[in-house]
Amino acid sequence: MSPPPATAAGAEPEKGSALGRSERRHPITRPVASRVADQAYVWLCTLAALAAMAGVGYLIYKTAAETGEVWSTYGIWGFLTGTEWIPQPADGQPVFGALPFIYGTLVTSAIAMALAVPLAIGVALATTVFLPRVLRGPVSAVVDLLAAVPSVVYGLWGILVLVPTLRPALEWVSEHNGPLGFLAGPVTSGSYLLSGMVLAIMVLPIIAAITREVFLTVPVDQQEGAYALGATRWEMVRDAMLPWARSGIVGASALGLGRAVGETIALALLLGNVPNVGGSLLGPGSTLAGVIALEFGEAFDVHLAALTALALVLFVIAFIINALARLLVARSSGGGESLVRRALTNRGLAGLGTIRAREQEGGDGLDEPADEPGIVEPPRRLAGLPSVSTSRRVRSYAAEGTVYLALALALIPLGAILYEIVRNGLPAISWDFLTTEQPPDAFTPGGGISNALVGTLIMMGIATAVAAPLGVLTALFINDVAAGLGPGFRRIGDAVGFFVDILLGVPSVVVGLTVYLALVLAMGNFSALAGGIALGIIMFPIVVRATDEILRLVPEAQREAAEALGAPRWRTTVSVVLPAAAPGILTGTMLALARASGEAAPLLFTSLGWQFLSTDVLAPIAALPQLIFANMVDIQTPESTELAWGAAFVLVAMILFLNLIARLIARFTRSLEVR
Amino acid sequence: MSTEQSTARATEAPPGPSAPPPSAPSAPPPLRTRGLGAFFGSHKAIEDIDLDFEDNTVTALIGPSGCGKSTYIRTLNRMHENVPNARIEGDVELHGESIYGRAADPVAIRRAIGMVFQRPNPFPTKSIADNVLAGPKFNRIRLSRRERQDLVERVLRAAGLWNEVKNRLRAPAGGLSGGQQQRLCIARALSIDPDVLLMDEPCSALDPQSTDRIEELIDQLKERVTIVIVTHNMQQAARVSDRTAFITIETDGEPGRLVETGPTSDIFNAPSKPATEAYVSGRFG
Repeated sequence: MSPPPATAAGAEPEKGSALGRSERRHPITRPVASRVADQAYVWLCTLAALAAMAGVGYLIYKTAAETGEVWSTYGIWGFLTGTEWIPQPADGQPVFGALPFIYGTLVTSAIAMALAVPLAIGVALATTVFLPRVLRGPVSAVVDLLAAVPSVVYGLWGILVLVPTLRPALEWVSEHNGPLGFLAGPVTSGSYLLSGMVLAIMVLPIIAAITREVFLTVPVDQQEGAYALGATRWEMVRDAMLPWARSGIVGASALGLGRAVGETIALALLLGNVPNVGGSLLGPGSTLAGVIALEFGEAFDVHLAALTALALVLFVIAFIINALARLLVARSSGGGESLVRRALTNRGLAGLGTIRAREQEGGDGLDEPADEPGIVEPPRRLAGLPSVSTSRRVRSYAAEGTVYLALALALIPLGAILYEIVRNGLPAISWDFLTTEQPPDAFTPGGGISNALVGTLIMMGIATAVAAPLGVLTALFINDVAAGLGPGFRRIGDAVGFFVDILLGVPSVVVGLTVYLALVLAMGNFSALAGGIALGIIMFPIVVRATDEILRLVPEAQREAAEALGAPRWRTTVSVVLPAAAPGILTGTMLALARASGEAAPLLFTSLGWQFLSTDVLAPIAALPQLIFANMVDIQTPESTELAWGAAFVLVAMILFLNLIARLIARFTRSLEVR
Repeated sequence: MSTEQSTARATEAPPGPSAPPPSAPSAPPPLRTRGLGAFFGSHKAIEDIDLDFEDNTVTALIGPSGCGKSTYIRTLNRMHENVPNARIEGDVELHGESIYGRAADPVAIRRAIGMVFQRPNPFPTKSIADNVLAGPKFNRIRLSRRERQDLVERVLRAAGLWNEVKNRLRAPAGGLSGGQQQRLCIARALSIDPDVLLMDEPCSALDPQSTDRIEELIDQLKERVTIVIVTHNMQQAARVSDRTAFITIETDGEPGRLVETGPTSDIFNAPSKPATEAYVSGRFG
């Protein structure tokens, strides 16, 4: 017989252990301190979640309240359908009509969709079926890089590179347009067509990433079924994959559209900001997000209220599109909801690969990892067997060629952007450039970006300090606390989750304006603090959903193991759940930070910008994206252009670095788990 | 099993009395259930189960798949209520005190009633030693370095794992074989010295050799702790248990009910109910 394993407390040997009636050795009640600790944990998470919700609720309230004047003066219908926007007339009352901006938003988004969706499907097919296996991962990672480039850098590239390059071609089109009135001249430097093209590049990676995931859900037996009937690779795609993935592709496109309508800075720089309805695609226009960003600086009273009303309209449009997208993607594949969230949280390959690998492990992390997901290779043709007819073969090769063409068209702009950033930005970089304040005006040569660099770092710090703890605690509330406290709490948890999903889809320009109305006005001045909080609000839902996803993947068996040992709830979380989830939470936070650090739009409303080096969090402060925007939006001189390229280089390098770290963490963790 | 292990067991297991002494009629058994039923939402999984689990006794719960054995055993340390919308009726008593009473706390209950799960669930990235020490750590039992070493060695010996892992106590537990992982889980459960040990099909994910090893272990452990084991393997029930309870579902959709219970030899050789006989002779289930 084994010697009795004595109590851990060391009080051994006990009475009555091996012989006779045992006695109860452990109380069935718990020490008060332990219960209090659990209560504290529950309340901490609950308070964090509710505080975050209350804060956002307050922002929404302030924003809605601000617009009251607009509705009462112009009427909802009148405002929405008004075609004139004259905020500061020479005489008489200002006129506000939202239609030109709604029109501009929809037209640029439509052009972007028309270009991006076919290319994205091509990229997704190339990276799931057609490319050699070894190239699939790297190529989709490269496409994901397009998503990491900030909006303001796209705007910069559009103005300085794309517009001059394409101008001759567009002029030729306008002269030879024949009966096509919507392509008539004159060609302006800002235009719907160019804006739509840039927008297409910006939303392509998101659509491609989700479409790729949808393709990977096509059951293996469907694919094998097609191959078993003698299908070529293209025929398998046409008959097995595309029908299966149709609604998923529609949903992915709708998600891209949701992103497109909220894009601000690139369009503010590229579209020309001329409110008009109809007219040539080669002429200028304006979008909801663009006009808010551009006119905010000179807007007071009813003008400001009208811009706020536009923000509300934009929010509603984005909300409806995102809700539809979610419905479509969720219907098309089992893991739809989480796919959507991953897409919205801008986690491309870095998150997806890891999560996929884990999900296949059968939940407890102990199984052998399954084979590569999804895609079956076609059988090799054996010599001497009847071969595919020539016409079928030609068609299949043509289809494959089209897919590769789409991939090339998607990769060219990426290459061009990175090339231009390095070509123009790298020469500007020097120690002086990083440590000198920006010059006093656009005509003074020299100077640097120290004020913007410091400002960006300070606001990233504030944003992380706000979003990371609140985000993790809120995720714990949704995932652990609310679920464990009975049905009523679970409903609250679901409500919080829904709220977070709405936040994910809010355009960043709307976040900026609401923080201005609720915080900057209350504090009396623009500040780094307000800027950091605005960026934190953008990060918060990303952190919550990334954490939530990862918490779901912590095997239930691990929690049970701890609970069966008598671990209190908080202890299970701290000792078992969080350590297992830590790398994923870190990855999610890094990606959220990368996304927020490239945002210029919200900073225009909150931190404003400052020409000098400042570390005062209660005063206005500069930031890299805002500096680039400010140097491009009014006058472009060789001096201001050089400064903007240099700043863009630093910003993109910083964001890519954050992305790289996030990917490395994800990969490192995966390799740990496979063992 | 290797000679190394059998010698190890010889040193680990000094001879000792094995016959349970006559029980005092006044004292309640370590664990018993009264009229126990369990629900998932509106679905009733088990109904009206009365069972006593005696000291120094291994009680096997047998029955066909889906009869509610696992649900039942999970009500015994309040793990059942982790499932959303799950609830129970009736009562479970630990040494005569209700574990579902007002004062009772699930965290304290689980500390007193240990559990080993169907699939081994060590903390895979924690070391072997830290897996064992997780129990004291979770329960805020402070140990000196010396005590920690002693505890690790003692419970790993008790679980028959010491000789296999003594040279790699700092290695991650995820690197152990399935059988070793399950014995580590048993060691981990023993580290906080529970009154009762629940085992939910502990061998179903293991190969026959590892199964043998765990069955020997159960036989040694019953000197120490009251054991309840769910198994769908009737040979295993016959080999390891002193008493057996047969639970079954009569018709689909009905909750599982206790058919009969008694000394294992009676249940397998002279069952009093036809349903039990049909099951143990392999004609059903």
